[in-house]
Amino acid sequence: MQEILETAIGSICKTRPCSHCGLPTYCDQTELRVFCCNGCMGAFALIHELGLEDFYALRSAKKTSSVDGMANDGSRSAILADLQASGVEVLSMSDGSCSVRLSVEGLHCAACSWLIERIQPTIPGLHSAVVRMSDHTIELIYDPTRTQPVLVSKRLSRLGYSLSPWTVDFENDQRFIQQQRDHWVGIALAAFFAANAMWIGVALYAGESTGISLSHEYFLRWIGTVLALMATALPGRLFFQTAWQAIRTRTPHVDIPVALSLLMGIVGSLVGAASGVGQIYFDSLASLILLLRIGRYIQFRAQYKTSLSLAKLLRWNAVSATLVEADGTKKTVPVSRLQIDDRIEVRPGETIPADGLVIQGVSSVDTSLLNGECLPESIAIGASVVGGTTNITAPITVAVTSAGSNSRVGRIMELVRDAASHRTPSVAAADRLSKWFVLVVLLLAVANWCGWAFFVDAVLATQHTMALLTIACPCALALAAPLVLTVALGRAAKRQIWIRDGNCLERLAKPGFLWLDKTGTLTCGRMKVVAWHGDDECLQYAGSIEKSIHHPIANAICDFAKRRGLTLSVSTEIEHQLGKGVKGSVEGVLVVIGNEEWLNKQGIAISVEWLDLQTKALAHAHTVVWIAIRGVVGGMFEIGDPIRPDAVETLHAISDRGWRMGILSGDRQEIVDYMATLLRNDGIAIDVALGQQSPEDKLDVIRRCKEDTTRPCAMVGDGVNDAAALAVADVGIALRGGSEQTLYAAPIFLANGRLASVSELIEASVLVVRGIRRCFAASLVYNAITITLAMMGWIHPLVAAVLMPLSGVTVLTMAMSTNAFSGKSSK
Amino acid sequence: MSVLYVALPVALLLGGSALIACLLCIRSGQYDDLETPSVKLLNDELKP
Repeated sequence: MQEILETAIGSICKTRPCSHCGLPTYCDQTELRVFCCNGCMGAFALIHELGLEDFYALRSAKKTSSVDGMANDGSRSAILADLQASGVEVLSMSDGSCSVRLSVEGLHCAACSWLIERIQPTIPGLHSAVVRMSDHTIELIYDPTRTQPVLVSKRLSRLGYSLSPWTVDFENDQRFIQQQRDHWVGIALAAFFAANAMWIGVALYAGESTGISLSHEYFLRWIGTVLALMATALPGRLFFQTAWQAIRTRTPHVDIPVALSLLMGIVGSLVGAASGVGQIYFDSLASLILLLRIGRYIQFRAQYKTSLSLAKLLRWNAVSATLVEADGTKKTVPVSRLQIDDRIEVRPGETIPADGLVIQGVSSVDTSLLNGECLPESIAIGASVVGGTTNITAPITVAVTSAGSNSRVGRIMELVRDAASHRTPSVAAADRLSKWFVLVVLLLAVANWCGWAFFVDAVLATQHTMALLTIACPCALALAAPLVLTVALGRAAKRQIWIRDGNCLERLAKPGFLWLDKTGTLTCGRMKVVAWHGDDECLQYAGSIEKSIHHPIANAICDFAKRRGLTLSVSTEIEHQLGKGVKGSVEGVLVVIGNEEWLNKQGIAISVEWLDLQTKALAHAHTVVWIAIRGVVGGMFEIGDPIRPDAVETLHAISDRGWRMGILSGDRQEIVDYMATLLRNDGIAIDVALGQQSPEDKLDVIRRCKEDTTRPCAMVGDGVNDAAALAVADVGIALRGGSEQTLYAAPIFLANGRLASVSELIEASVLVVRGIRRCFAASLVYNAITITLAMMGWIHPLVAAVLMPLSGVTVLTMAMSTNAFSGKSSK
Repeated sequence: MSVLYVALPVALLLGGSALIACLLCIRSGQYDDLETPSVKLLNDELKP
């Protein structure tokens, strides 16, 4: 019957894309437009109302704007309502209007910026609204007496774009704009000198072939030389400055060869112009400076973009907080403004913006970010809460105890950032290599000039040596390795994998020995009913009794009963003996729950068939709990700590990469053995399964393992009990525990609590190491080939100037595209 | 005296004035955002 109904529905209802956002929507075929929700319908209506239907034609078919931005609207618009108080820079213009830069979320393509800017004429008092696509910001210029940013924000949020205070700091942005202008000025100047030097050069070459009076030739030569000198003095100064700084601090820098090459050009030109014989270089020199300046600018852009995207990766906390003043009024402030002892209100669903103590309200918080705990933790007055966690059920008021970089989350982020700035072996190697590289290039240049000057002539020698000095580019070496690593660490942090030490990430690339803790690592770490032999009536009685007891097994039974959809009744006369069992009565019926010994003590006999079941259960290392109703056995629970659902798949992936694995547990040996057998049955090679290990034993095992093999010895475990072993292992990966304490012991902490992240880590490690090597190789091959060609005299200095930035940008792009942690495996 | 001694400085002065105009443009911030204008170009004819 149901099947027929479904086919019937299927024939009239089909999915069609929503007319606004493009999400598949069930609809009646006859409708002209379909909407997935009222939000989209509203946005569509507004766009039509304003006569902006072209939006739909302009936007690309694939990129659809989401409506996520709507959720946080309340707190954001409060911030925007009082910009000055929120610490947002508002510039007052001379004509009385104000200008403010805000960040826009939900920008996708040209159509978005078009649509947003078209809003401007519809809001009286808004003089201009200019979107900057490069960093997703909008600049509003408005008349403060007639409109406010909050109005604009409300308008835009109806379209699915949300405005928020711009978080990139103002000074940084100003500095970037200033630097960019300096680059442009340099390029403009260099272009002017290069172009003019060039046509003077053309005149001279033409004169050479058709005849030119000597006085004209001298005049042109001197004008050309002056232009070239000005080019070196103005736009070319940059290279001499950095080279001079590098020489003073005795750190070989890529600008030393470049400056040397320019110097050779000047000297050559001057000698040529003064003596009137030999090649002069002023046209090449000016063009060289132009190309070098353009190359520098391209690299500057690439680096700025990289740093922007890195900053985005490492920024994730709450933006605003609701501050409760002494007189009870509330106002929204940016998190950076919070101070100790401030009172803040956190509504359900919001991220707690700072560490503090609850002073009002009872709620529960999701702390999974910090300790991987998936069950919400209940909190009441006096409880401490941690910034970054999410308030779930009810509003609470919190007195701030530490905020910003002093808060726990702040410290974690600092640890991760430190890791990014810390030099791992390959980064240090790259650094050393690039220093040697500059020295080698300088030596080669000297040898090259002497060789060409001795065997051929000084003019060609100068030209070829200039090419050699220009083309050699060690920057790729120095830049690539740290960049690859930083990108990986940032992406990992986004996935709640905190990495304190970049070394560890590199070490995981080589397969070694992986030790796994059992409880909480291979298993869920929580008692669960894995099998139930009995009927629902029995289960309901069991649940009703266990409801009033707080014990892992009782909780497991209670959960199980609830998940079956049973309503639990009230129990009375509860009698509980720890480690044995419990008895009580439900609606006048006597219920006894406990182990075999407890039931026997109550005078209840267990039949042989039931005991057979118990033997089987015990063989599976399960704990057996009996239930008897009115003195008769009614059912049996098998309770265990089941293997994590993702364990088998993860371990398969890890062993496929050549890792050997062992279990290291504090649990009884037979349980550990059983676990190993289970895993082996699934085709996973567990080499060793050690049970009854105290934390000290674990430490010993790891130490011995490290001595036995040169390969990495990794340990995955609990951040609390296994801290010592985790700290000693080559790579310690903690799955549970409080983040920052654990991070001090274990360099890697999986705050997402997923075992699968271990295989993600290993995969990422391989990718990182491969990415670094690839960048190294590319850079070395490039330099080897081009230097050889330049020494053979096949490359003109101008070609060299074009090739040099190309290699740098290529390597930057390669580094950024290393896809460690970018896989789709996040759930 | 050859015309070259006049023409060349004049040409340089003309070029120099264009250069100064360009520098003024840069200082005024016209080149600060290079991405958005390229995108807006497509939409100009749709202006209300």
